Amino acid sequence: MNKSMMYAVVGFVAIMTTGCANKAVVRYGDANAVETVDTNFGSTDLQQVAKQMTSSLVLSPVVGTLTANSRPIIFVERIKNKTSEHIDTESITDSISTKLLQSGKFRFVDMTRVEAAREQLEFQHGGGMVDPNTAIKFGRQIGAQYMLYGNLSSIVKSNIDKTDVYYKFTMRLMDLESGLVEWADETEIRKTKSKENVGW
Amino acid sequence: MVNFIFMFKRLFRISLFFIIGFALSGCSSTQFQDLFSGYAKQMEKVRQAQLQGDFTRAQALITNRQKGDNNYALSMLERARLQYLLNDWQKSRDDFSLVYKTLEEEREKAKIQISKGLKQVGAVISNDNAIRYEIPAYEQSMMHSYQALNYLNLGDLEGALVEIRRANLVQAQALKDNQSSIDEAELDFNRNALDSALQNAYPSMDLMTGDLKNGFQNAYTFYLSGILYEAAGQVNDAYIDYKKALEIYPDNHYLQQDVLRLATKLVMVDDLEHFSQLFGPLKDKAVEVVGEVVLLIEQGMVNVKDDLSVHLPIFYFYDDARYFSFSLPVYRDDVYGYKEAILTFDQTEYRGAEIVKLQSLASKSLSDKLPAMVARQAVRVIAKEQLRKQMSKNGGDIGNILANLYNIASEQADTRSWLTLPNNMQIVRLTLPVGKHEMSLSVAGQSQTIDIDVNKNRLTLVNVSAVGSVLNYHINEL
Repeated sequence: MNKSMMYAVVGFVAIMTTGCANKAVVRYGDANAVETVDTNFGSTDLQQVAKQMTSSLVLSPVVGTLTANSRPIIFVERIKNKTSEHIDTESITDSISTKLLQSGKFRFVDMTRVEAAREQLEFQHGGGMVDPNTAIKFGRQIGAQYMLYGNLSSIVKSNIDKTDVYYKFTMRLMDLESGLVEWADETEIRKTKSKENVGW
Repeated sequence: MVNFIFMFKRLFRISLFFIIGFALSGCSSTQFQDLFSGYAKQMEKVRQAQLQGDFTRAQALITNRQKGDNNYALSMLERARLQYLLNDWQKSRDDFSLVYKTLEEEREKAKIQISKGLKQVGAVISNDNAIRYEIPAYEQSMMHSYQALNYLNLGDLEGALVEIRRANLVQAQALKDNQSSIDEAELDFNRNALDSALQNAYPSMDLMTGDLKNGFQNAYTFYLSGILYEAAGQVNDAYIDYKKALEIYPDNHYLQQDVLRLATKLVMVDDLEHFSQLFGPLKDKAVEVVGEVVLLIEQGMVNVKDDLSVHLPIFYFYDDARYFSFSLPVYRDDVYGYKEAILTFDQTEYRGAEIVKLQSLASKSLSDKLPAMVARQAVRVIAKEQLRKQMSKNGGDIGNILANLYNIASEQADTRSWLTLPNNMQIVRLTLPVGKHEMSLSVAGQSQTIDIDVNKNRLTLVNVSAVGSVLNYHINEL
């Protein structure tokens, strides 16, 4: 075997064996950019769902009359995850409640931090560290009038060529006093991924 | 002398091709030991430690594999299962989700993968262990079941239900995939001249497979799914999954009662009539102030695949059939003695009823893969024979001997499978009055007292694991 051939082969093998290592690059990107890495529930879906739900709720005529003279107090129950993915639904409700709060039409009570608030009040009263005159009194919090809740479900189908995921996000606002659902809306998202024919 | 140097140069060139072949299969690597010693053999010590109940040591004995290794996902499955047995739900969950991630990546990949093709080439000059381990559907369904239990044990019922839905997707997909591929393979296989010879040489695994119609429908996963749906208040979903489980195990009397109970509750008039005719009326009508207890009992360990040498005729030239010997994986017919679990409570005995026999699923999965395996083997035998001829031509006797040694050493059956799984699972389901109870459970000679706290109209899930000399249990109040 001649030498140049040998070198070529050795070089080829060397490239092949090192070929798997890629240099990592860190960049800042646009947080609102459309993300299409895979068909799983992603940031774009979350943003879309939150945006549509908030604008639908704020613009709804029924809610318009509710918020005409007062700022109703809402508590967010939770979004039930009925999909086949582990999705942080608290993050969705966080986005929605933040946007609603920013609209200036609603007020919120946060049920996820009740324990922490209770601990603080107990500390103020029982700890001996806080001036009793400035301690916040128990039993003065304001009760929620409405409950916001929802479901996120999905249908996944796939074959050798493509994967199709359909998400349906439903939200409802219930009047806690009468039990009536004052508002409801749903958002649908469809994502498909066709597979490449040939790849490494 | 000159001749000798010339000869070595030739041999060098051939070995260079080997190196290139292995290097090309590139990004995912095959460990050297995998090519020359079977997976089952590598796992022997791990299984021994598991049988002795020393899960920590078993876990330490598992070969560490990097991402990209052919057996990476498999080794993670083994590890996660042992962590589950160690009650380390968090770690077990993390490892299982890594496996799921690799499965997802695999699913996302192109239809034709060049690296996969190259691996097949690599496998032609070595053995099937050079191909990436593909996790069969039954192992995937078990993975999601354990993952669901991990989530449940960590107090996340919603997460558990996500895993259950994933498991159901796997089962539905497998049913769809297998139907067409089995039909195709059977057609090819029947046309093949190897057929009758193989059937003579290869032992029948029918006994192990039993009367199970398909090797990918896992009734245990459906049952677990039913329980969790019931706990989440989705009774209709639970009913559907109990019915699916019943299709696979029509004789399981606990299942029959579950289906009858939910059919009554959901007022499924037609179904109720149909099932009442089959199984008789619902036995215990709901009494006030009761809770339900479900025991899921896993027993023993799944069998290992054995290496079977068979002599088969290969048509080498057009008319010239020659016999070659090669290795195929096989499950020997020593079925693990299935022993009924017996639960004693208030002087009444409740017997466990089988909900899945993993050995059956494993055997069926292997026999489905067999036609493709034999086809690959036939190609391999010819390739290796060619290699031997070349080496003997170029390297004389030494080349011949080297080639023969390599051929013998590299003739390893693909004995890979998830080996830390149990052999079978049984269920016991009973309604008990509210309050604290003590019951005794005995499985395969091991006994254990279980203290249980039954809540009103709630379900108490007891996961029992009886492996070797150990009997552990964990209680979840749903």
